[in-house]
Amino acid sequence: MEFRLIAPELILAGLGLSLVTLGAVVKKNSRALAVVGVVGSLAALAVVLANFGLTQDLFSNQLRHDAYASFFKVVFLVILILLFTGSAQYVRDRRMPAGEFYALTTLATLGGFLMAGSLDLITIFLGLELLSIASYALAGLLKGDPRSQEASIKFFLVGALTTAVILFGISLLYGLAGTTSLTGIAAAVAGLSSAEFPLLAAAGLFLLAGLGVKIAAVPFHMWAPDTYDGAPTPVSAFLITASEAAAFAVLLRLFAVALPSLAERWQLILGLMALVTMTYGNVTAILQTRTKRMLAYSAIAQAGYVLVGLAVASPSGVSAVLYYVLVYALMTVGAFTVVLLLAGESLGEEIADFNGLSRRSPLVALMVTILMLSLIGIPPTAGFFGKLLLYRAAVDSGMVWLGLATVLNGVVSVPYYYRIVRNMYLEQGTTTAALTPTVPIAIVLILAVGGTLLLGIVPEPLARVVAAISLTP
Amino acid sequence: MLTALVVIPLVGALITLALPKEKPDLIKRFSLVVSVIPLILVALMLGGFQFGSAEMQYVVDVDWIPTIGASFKLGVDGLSYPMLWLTGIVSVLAIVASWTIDHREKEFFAWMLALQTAMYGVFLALDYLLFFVFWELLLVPMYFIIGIWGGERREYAAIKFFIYTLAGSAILLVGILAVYLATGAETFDIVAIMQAAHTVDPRVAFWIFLAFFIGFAVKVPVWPFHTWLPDAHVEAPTGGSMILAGVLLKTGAYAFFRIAYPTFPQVAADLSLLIGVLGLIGIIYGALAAMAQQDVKKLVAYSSVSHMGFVMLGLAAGSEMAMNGAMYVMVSHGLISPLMFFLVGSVFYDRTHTRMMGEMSGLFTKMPVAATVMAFAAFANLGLPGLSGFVGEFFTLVGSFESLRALVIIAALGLAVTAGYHLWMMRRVLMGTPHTDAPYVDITGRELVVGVPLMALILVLGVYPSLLLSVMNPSVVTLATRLGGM
Amino acid sequence: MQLPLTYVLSFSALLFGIGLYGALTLQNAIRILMCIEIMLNAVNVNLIAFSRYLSPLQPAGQAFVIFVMTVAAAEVAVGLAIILMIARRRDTIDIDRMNLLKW
Repeated sequence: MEFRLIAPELILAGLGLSLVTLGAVVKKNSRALAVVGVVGSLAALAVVLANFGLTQDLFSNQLRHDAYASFFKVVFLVILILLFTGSAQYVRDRRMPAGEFYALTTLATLGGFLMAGSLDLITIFLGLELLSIASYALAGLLKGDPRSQEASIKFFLVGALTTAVILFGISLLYGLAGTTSLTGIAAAVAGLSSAEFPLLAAAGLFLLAGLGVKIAAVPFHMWAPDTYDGAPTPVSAFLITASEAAAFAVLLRLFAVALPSLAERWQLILGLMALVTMTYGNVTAILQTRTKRMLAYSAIAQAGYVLVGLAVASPSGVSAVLYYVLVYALMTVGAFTVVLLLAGESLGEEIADFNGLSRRSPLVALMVTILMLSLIGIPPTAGFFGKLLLYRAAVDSGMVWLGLATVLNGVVSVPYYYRIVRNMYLEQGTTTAALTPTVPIAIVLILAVGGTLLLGIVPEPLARVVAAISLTP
Repeated sequence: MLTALVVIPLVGALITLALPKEKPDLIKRFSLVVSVIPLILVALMLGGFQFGSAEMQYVVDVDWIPTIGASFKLGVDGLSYPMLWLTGIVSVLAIVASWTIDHREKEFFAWMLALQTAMYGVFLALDYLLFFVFWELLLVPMYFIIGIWGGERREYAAIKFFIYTLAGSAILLVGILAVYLATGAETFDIVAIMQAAHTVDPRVAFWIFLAFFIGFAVKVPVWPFHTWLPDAHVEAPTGGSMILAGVLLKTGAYAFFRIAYPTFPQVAADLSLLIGVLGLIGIIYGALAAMAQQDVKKLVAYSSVSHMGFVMLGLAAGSEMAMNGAMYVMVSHGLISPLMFFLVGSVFYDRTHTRMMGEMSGLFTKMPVAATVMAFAAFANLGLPGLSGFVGEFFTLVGSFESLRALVIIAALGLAVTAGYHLWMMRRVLMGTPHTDAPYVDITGRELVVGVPLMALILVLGVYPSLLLSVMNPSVVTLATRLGGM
Repeated sequence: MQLPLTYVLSFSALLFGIGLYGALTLQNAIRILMCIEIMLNAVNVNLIAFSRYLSPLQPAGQAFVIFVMTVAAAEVAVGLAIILMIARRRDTIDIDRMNLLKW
């Protein structure tokens, strides 16, 4: 039974290792590697889906296989599959080391798997590091590009520092509880005297700060725009979606399972953090002229929206986070795929590169419009419904101000998302040559945009799934 | 039936996108056919429509998102049925009026059709979430229509329109969620929530009503939320202005009738003076601002602010007669203002290439028929008895007199200003000596196709008000009773 | 006789503080990396102390230290590779001069 439940992890590990080996053999053929990667991830996805309903604690309570973890695993794999499909050409054009790219992304995803399923501080740490170390290298994969190098070194130094901070928090928590198991901590914390509470708060603060860096929440966001801007485009997409989702998976589980008392006391702090994060991200994004940098600030803002679900500390908050994380992954991967598409003709780095896109390819322009509307949160897109669940969770738990702030932030975000749409439809581009996406990119766009529309128009099936997922059995 | 009304234009829009862009005529004809179909459906509904009933009819109710209690629920009653007619007629005529669009035709007509889906949806939706979806859906096509095909300052006007209304609907959304959670009914059904709303704590109800008010008022637009309107109306292409003035403004007022008032009658009654004053300011301010305009299109835009003020005044009074009047003003203004925008933005502009009063005059001698139509529209708009504009305003004023006496007296003075700027405009534009010797082609057949149906309806509704009253009276009476009973 | 636990904890907190201060103020990437290692060692001292004093029979904390050391080694390996790559190209590893991307 245990092996069946960790089969996806095993598949990913095997896939990662074989991709490294294959990469050394077929140096030039990035497409072959992409195919292997997609097939392997599809296999893992199939197993995850087959195991979806099963709940069991594995390896003496190191890992918990439950619907919550499975949901995040599905999200990671969807991201991985879409990115693998869409990035082959970019990898070839930019002469990225293909074997390393595919292998490291797979291993980073494995790290995300461990984070989503871990029930123990040690496993959390291991998963986090697997994800992080692979990401540092990924960010620097454009070896000749100084921007990529710079992104990598900044990411690494901040990340290493973060690791130390998280570990310090973990060590304090261990000292308080005498165990590293989350359930054990929960039991120990419940019996804590009030004199010991400051120490608990300190431990929580270290953990929140460390994980806050990973999700790029203000005030721990400074590294994010530089890294997301400089890193290779597929890597930025991966970091913004999968890496942040993994950090949220840990945060939610940590606060809901191990530190529920802290989560309740910190509602206000977390709520303010959400508010500041989304507002800062949205306002700063308006000022950007580079596409990826703009998307980076938009990612900060979106992280703020997800934090709302954390701040409300209720089951409906958890469901909303799950829904939004999946939707956000689809929208972001879609947007980055368009950047990848434009990168095929050395465009897309600047927002001005979107000029006149509607005449070059009306269909792509329409798809981008749908993605942007979804990022703003306008119905009938999935972004709207995802946010609706977040608002509902906020208003439901009495934090009306937070719900109102989130809604208004959607309006604040209009100018910069709108700028892309405006450039596509109202500006003249430098060229009017028809733009035809390659087949893989077309597939990714159709899946991402189709998913965004479908989850907005028919949200019921997924809404039911996430409503049934709970962290506390 | 109602589902088809919502779906057909959208499907048509998608098909339009697939048509070859080298054949603009095909695109135009196709979109015309597609927009006539819903109008025919609306006409067919006449057969089964229960005139004496205030109940919802032709109800469609399908589960949509049961997890949170949202359903795909559509229905028609005396309040929405006239609006459907209005939508159908103005949409078809706006398409005809847009025949002169000469670039990116495919996108234009696709957006126009998508807009129709949203408009029908707003008037039909009986579920808060569904309503909100259509409500937001109105923005996107309109944004593109103004932004791509509009006048010189189109971009500014388009984004201003978008952000204003989006901000309004953001607040509306919080209100919707609040009422959803406050009633605890676990449903977004508008009717069900209306029945459960009396359980809501009055203080909470006040805030929710306020959120609704702001959300809807931006769209109406109620003074002081109106500043997007002159820009949007003036910059929009003619077809866009017609829809904007004819239907879009009515969605806001309709939402007051459908949602805000019946759900929280007590709060509405408490705030009636405030709403009435805002309506009155709209009437006076709109009229005075219209008077100051040189640009005829702006004049028409401000006169819209003024007329929508009457709707708010009638709502505020809350009596049967006043609300009937307010509904009547909506329909009548929905016919008159598209006619005026069409004349000013298309018929006159295509020939004179100006909208400034100083630069065109003596149109009576240059193009007598078109000028006569304009005179007709202006008289209708200033409320000449015998035309539809008069009936609505008369009902509103008489119906409001009892409860809001002082306001009505001032509003009647506003009517004098209204008459003033219309007459003044006619004197400067239609009479006098012509500016140039160049001959103008008089109104063409296609332009008459747009103008004549509107004129006919304005006339019919002016002399035979019970045609419309018989449809909406039962629903209005129910609403008035709800308000009065509180 | 044993040292009281608080002594050990104060020591590790001091160590962590020194490392954090250095990591935030220094410019040389290698030095920053070394400071981060100091912070990690503070964590290790913490873990061992807690393990030894509070639950000597369940040495989970000591096992954790092994993990931390292993992972830290991997992290340093990747980090040094990145620093080396930059040093080759720019002849500097001063992070203040890495300003292609506006901060």
